[in-house]
Amino acid sequence: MSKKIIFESSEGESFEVDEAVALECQTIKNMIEDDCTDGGIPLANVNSATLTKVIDYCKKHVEAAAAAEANAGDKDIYGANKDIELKTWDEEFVKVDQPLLFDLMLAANFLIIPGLLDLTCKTMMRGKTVLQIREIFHIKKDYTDAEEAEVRKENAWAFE
Amino acid sequence: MTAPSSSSPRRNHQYPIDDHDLISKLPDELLQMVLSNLSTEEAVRTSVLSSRWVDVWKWRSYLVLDMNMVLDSTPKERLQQVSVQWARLMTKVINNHRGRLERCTIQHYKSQCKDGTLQSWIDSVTGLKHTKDLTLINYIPAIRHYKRANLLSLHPYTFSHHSLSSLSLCGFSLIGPDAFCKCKNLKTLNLINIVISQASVLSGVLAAFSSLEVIVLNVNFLNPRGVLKIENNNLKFLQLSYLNEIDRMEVYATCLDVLAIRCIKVKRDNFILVAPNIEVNKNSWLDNHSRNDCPHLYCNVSSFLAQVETNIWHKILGSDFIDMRRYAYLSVSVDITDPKEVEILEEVLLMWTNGLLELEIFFKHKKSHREEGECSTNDRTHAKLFPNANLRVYNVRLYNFDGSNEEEFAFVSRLVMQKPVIVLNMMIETSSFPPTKKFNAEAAVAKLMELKYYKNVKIECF
Repeated sequence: MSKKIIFESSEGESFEVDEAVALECQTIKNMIEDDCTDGGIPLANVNSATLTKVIDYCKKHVEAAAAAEANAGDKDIYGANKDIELKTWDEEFVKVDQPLLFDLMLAANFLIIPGLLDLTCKTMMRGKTVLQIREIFHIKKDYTDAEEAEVRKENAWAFE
Repeated sequence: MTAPSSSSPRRNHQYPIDDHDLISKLPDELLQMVLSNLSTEEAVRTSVLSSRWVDVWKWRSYLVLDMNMVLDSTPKERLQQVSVQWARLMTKVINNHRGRLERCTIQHYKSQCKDGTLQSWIDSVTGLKHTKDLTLINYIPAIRHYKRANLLSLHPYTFSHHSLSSLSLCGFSLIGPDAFCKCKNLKTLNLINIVISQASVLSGVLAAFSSLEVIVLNVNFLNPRGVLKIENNNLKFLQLSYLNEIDRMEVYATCLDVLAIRCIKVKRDNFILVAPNIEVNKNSWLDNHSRNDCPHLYCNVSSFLAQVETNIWHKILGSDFIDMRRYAYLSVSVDITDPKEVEILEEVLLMWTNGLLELEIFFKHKKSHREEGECSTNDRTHAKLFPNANLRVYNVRLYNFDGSNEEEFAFVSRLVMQKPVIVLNMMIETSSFPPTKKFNAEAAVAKLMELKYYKNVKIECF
């Protein structure tokens, strides 16, 4: 009964996935509902490496949801152990280099996968100083000293 | 304030060229999403990264502006001066912010109440930014001195903006309902550490909000005389914690599903509650010097609780009951045959894993009994109840239980048998039952006695 959906990456590579997995993407869900998925879905702005990761993510979350359903009876009310396991999996999942991480963000945004989008955005900058952020993300300051002083003055509440 | 440690230490050439700067190439909406995971300060600080970032934070959907840290380290005599300076900086942040706000928290000093700054902040975040959830916190140097709360004097209709659905006020003294006029869309009102001259004034304030579904009151009355009256047919959740006495309390709320009492000093006879969904038993009112000093939660497990974002639930109950929950009393009305309700009940019970003094369960039977075919979902109710929780209850009182309903009996027997759930006394109310039902109940008790896990559990009818 499991229907297959075919994605095509920007390199033209085909990826066959179960419909349930594809349904994790809101964008694809809409397409499936509108019945316009025959002959594959071309994803011109998602490359193969990213698509592979995205599909991994969706698969894992579909499986986890199914497992949670099956075990609903012995759920630990504080958030099942399964949830913890999935969380750990998620954390590992986003330990990738920056280019891939940003590609994942863009893909999650385009395909509308809220969980993945949230996961990629969540810890990116938290708890880091401006200097650290600058270093980690290679952000070059293009302000003159006077401009920077002006920005700091405008936003002095946060800098004091 | 002036530009800080200005143009010295760090230099441009330390940073690699911007070809490597992939993050700055992301679209605005994604950068905004990244910043939404930061505190307001952290987000505002990103404006100094580069010109790409100067406006990104300005579109965030919530702001938390405070001067707490600064005021805490400021000597008393300079509080006013420092707060005025900080207020200017906070105004700048509000003015620089663009777009709408979902949530806004502003923490300030009494000077901002007096000089009109607070009013202008509220006007901009509601009128211009359409804030849905607004929290105002007045900084009071010594928390115990509640009488030093400052008068919240605002223009009429201040909170009447149609977008505003939740309002929290902390540390003020309220004098009248003017500012609260025409708040037709307000659903949640939290009054925390509020001082009010007398109960009738608060009745007036609350009467201005007919749309409220959630009310949390932590209020001191300067004059203990008077009647607090809450009449609201939209109200679903009411939490009360008073510090001093009033003569009488009247609540008329046909839809009320949760009544959470932390500590009120009103005698049971002077507490008039007309809320058909909630069973408040006379003998359940803790008679401790005729006052209800222990946290007591009355809860009708219903679809409202299922819908309501659990955050209200956990925020309000969790934070407030946590330190006292050893003494807590819990009364729930629940339809055990509805798996959804059982799930909610478990969640409610597990908030008190440290022990409950008394648990009352009213077994209700919904009129429209579940349809055929839905039965399969009920398997879940026969599953193990709270496998990992240590629920300790001294007294359990059961109402409307005669053991004739299989699911109810299974639920009760789990309470008696299951290892991590410890019940010391179980009492089953039968005095109001007709003879047949009474007979059934006694039979159920006999069956339970055979089941019980601990020898010490006492099971009896009353």
